Amino acid sequence: MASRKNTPKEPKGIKRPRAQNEDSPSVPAVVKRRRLKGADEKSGSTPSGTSSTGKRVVSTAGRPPLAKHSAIKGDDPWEIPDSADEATHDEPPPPKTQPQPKKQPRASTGSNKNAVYEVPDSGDELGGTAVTPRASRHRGTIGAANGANAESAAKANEPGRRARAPLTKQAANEAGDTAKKFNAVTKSRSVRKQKDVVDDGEADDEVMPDSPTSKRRPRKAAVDTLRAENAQNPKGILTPSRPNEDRRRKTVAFNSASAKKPAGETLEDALSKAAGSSSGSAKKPKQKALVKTKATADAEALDSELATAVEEEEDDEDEDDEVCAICSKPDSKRGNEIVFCDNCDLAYHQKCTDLPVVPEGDWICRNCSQEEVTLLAAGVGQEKVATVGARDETPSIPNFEQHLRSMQRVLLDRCTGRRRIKLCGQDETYEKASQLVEQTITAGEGNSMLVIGARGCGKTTLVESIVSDMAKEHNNQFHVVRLNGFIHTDDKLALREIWRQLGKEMEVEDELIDKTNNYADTMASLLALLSHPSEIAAAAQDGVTSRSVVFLIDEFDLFATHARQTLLYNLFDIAQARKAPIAVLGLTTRIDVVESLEKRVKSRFSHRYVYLSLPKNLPAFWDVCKQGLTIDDEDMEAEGIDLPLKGHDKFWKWWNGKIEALRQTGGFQDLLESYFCSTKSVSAFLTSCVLPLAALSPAAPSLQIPGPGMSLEPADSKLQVLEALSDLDLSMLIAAARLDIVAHTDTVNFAMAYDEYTSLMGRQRVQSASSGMLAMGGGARVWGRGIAGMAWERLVTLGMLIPAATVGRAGAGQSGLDAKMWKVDVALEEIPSVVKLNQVLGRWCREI
Amino acid sequence: MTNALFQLPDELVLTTLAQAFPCRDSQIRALATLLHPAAAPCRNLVLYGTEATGKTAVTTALLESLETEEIDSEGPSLKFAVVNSVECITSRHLFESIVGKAAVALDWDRAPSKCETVSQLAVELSKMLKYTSRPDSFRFALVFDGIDRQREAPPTLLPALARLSEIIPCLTTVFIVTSPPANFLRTSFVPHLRFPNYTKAEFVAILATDPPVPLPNTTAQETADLWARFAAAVHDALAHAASRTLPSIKHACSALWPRFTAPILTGTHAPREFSKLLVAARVYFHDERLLDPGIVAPTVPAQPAPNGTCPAANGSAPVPPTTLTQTLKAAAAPTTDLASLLPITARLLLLAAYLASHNATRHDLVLFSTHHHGRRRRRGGLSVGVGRGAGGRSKHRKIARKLLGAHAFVLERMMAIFAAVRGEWDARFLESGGEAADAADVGMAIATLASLRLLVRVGGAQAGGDPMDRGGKWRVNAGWEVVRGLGRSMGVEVEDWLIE
Repeated sequence: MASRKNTPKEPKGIKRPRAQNEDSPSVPAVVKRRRLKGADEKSGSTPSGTSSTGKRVVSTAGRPPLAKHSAIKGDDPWEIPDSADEATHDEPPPPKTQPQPKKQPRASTGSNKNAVYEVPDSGDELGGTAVTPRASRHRGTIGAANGANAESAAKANEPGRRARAPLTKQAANEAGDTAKKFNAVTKSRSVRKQKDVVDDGEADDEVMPDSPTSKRRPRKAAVDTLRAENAQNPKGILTPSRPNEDRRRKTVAFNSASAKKPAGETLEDALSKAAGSSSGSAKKPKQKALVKTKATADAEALDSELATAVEEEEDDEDEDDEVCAICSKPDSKRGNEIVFCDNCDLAYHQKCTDLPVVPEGDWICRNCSQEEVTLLAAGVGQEKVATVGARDETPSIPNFEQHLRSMQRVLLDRCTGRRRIKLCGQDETYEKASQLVEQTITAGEGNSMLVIGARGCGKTTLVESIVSDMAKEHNNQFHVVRLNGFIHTDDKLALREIWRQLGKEMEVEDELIDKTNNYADTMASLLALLSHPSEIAAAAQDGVTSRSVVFLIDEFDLFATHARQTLLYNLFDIAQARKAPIAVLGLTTRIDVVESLEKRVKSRFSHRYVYLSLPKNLPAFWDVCKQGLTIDDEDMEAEGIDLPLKGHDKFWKWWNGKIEALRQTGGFQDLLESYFCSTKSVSAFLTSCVLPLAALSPAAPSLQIPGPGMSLEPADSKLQVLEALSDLDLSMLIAAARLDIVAHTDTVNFAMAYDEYTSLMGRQRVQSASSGMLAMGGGARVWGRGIAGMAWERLVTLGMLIPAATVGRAGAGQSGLDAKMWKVDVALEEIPSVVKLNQVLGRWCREI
Repeated sequence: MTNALFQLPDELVLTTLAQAFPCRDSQIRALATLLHPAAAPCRNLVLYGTEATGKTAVTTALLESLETEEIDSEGPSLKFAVVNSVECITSRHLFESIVGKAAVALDWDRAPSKCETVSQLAVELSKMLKYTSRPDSFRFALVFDGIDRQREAPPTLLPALARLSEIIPCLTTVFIVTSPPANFLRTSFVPHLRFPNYTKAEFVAILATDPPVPLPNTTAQETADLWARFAAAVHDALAHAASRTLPSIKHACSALWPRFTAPILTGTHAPREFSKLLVAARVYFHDERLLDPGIVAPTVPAQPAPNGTCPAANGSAPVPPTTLTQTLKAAAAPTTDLASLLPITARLLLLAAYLASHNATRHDLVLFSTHHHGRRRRRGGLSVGVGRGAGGRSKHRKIARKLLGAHAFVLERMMAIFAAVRGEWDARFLESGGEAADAADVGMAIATLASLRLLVRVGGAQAGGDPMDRGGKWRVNAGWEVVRGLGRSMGVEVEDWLIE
């Protein structure tokens, strides 16, 4: 290490030209590609090998550069907080990272110096031509630019938090957090680098769009050449293609991580990798050397670039562990000192918080002073529900409003299920079932039939429309009895209900009901009634069969669970024995319902079924759904639309045109398809139309589906509740969920969860204390047992914890908050996916 | 079929409601659309969200205003009844209160005396709503509040209630639940309306609608501004971190406000100097008892007030939290300290019971045997290294025994432990200057502990028999902190006597 610091200049100079020679003709193009590639990566579509590459490299590179830096730092001052150059090719520098714009020019002017302190490439450098000043300057800035790119990408993920690299603190023995931070940066930097290596190896033929950002090309070129060299290095532990592929594969994770996850995660990864690597790298000198070359090259380049700017900071950096909460840099110098908030104890740069002078006495950061609150509150008050389609004008149709309103009435009634919609494509089924009912009504046959189909496929619609058609046709010459398995939960209730519905008097019935033996009585009289149609028929005219009875049994499968299936037995028996003209229509969702019938019941069932199916394809689905959005011509009258009203035809032409246009829009198609693919539920689709339809008005007659308002969808899962939880609630939940894994228990009690919580918290405190950073977010303080108990009870109330069945006598008497055992209804890995956790809690979810 | 025209609820009503319930505007509008008889009344409706998000309040207020709105107009009319499941102890109770409330809402004088099943409920509601002639546009809204918390609910209860609106066309049933499982109504599709928890801005906006009385020598506007910022600070410090509900943040704000503004009253700080006020009141923002008032709270919050105002008033550094908690502990101590409440024998028995509950029987010989050396061979100590796995953790961490709760023990065993430790502990107690435990009535002490529920008979009721039966099973009902304190009061370090 010590020797390394003396070597810096020459290899660099050498290496770079050589590399340039290698692919100098194509440098600009290549560069462009690289650049774009980087841009692509950043935009999220990257092949994701980079992440793991990044990690891998870090793991080997993490330590050495540190050591090197500390060594260098001993006698030469080219240390810099590396994040200085924030400018990236595709992202403007975040406004808060103030130093860069100034430093950048400086760096480029100091190019000679850079050349002097050029990083040593590893010993295996080939000789090369002399360095042109320009090249060397670029080279000098490469690392910085490169690192800055990667870093700013990281920063973009986690704005202004920690993703910056305090290179200034790289004493080799420094505590974990420094390493962590450093690694994060190094990692992202090396990710990029690795990526480029990969590119050199295999991606030159990739077609990239032209990059508009040409000013960085030279640096990039230099990096590329450096990389190309590494890639072609004969010893290449790093070079072989397989590792590259491997890395590339893992990159996806990195990118997605960088796109979505809090940077804490990547930091963590880097940390763990680095921990492993620092030991591992010693054993692999070659690899280490290579990696070190790269890492140090970058670091040095950075150093030299910013050297002029940071000279005075070096004094502070050793003792100063606090980093600015905004720019995450620890440097504190005159005019831009670090100040501490007196409320939250976070550190801030003067410049980062717009603090011209260090205030006397107490100072409170912007976050704590809640200045924005009044604005926020005002904003919340002003919040309005967007009005739909205010932009389009009312078409000039006479009586437009009346047309619109009556249409809305009909369509909304359909959508909310108050009017039946027509069955589509179920004609055969309808024929079958209706024929059966008709036979019963006209010919006095006894019939039974099961209507089987999924929920929402129109079973009830089918039977109800049959009944209403029959009622129209046959002038109510029959009775209908409707039973529902959910409501009539046993045969007694069902019988009583049959009795009641058949028109046997309430008052009389009430007396009957009060009798103790009324079940038998009811049964007897019912049987008598049904078995002797002539008794009722006496009232009717001669020659006409007695009035038939249609039984509609909803949730038929539940009746099969009643004791001995008495009701079903009797009904089927009557139907089969032709004692009376009854038709039994059972509606069920269970296709195997016959299996649950007892043998004697099954043998009396006619084994006639009709199956209703959900729409088979998207057009069929749309045909059904369309009824919620428009009215067919033939239904107009039936639905009570005022046909003669002036402008009728014109309005409907206009409206149907609107619906057709809507059908073509992407959002609507997506919605329709998502319902078709997920549930095929017509009613779900219709429900989603309710609010948009209701929002129509003559002033804004355009339908917007999906609408901008609230969604009426049910929650995706129970986990949605997690969003409403406080940090402590989440902490307890995570602690409990961790125990599942850590201690391998499936049940937890409050004492165990709280113990885990406090130990996690203790560990967290130690970490943050050693890192000199305060834990951010709610993780910072340990809450007492009482509050934690409240949080625990809240979790119980919300159903996140389910009482565990008490096992044996030992658990039987367990009482009190501490000892009662619970099952956690959430898996640990589910938690981060549902709710945005702060850094600390996120780590608890990841690190076991 | 004649069609009433579609018509949205009166905008005035909605605006009034939106002012009364800030940050619930979209929910109010959607709900009004789905409930109003002339808009798009649906059959079933599910409102869900965590507690204190305004589900019940918004629904009730909306229905009330819709109901009164309809009275004067000739058009559609709406009646409603709200049934709170928490108030109903059985499902029969629920049915009967549904019928009762519906009868009241509809001025129905023939309400039945009893209603035991859903089937009867359906019949009774049908009598009121279906068989009585009502105007076409009449709607009845039946709100089941907290129906997911109904006790003794059969599994078919919710689906059955959801079927009521199929049977009775003019009925709208509204289910207010916390977090509905998927398809819990077993029907094809039900609109769900979500009431999310409030965000920080919304919390502040809600609190800002009700600013406190203006402070002396400040304007109302200044007070309101300060209040808003103060509320935001409370949210960050307490609500978001530990208890994120509107009532708790309201409570915390109202409890903190006097202390927070004390410097203004004394004239030390101006109301504009938020940061100074915040620093001065910083210690209060760390006070957990704001969120967890507790039963003995009334005396306790008064305690820190004089303490805290003084340093704040003279501008010096605030009291460090430790002193605050110390004072609090001191204040709370006399009421709860068992050591001063229990006689020595009872204390010893309680310790023995704790040891019996938390040590495995197989360790008894190791711990309590005095056979070899005239005193027990070795005491605890094992507890230190064993549990945490010396030298590399095992695959899974072992859970400390004391976290697992108390195990049941036979009374005989506790008596044996008591006899074994009594001599030693009592002697120590003598040395440390306490009075000797006489041969007091051990049975009396056990009875005392049992009556204080510090000792609990396991399966006592059904086991029956003599409470002093030596074979009876008991469990200690005191926590680790209590027992440790108790032990120290007698100079016994209980931890030494526990084997993990």
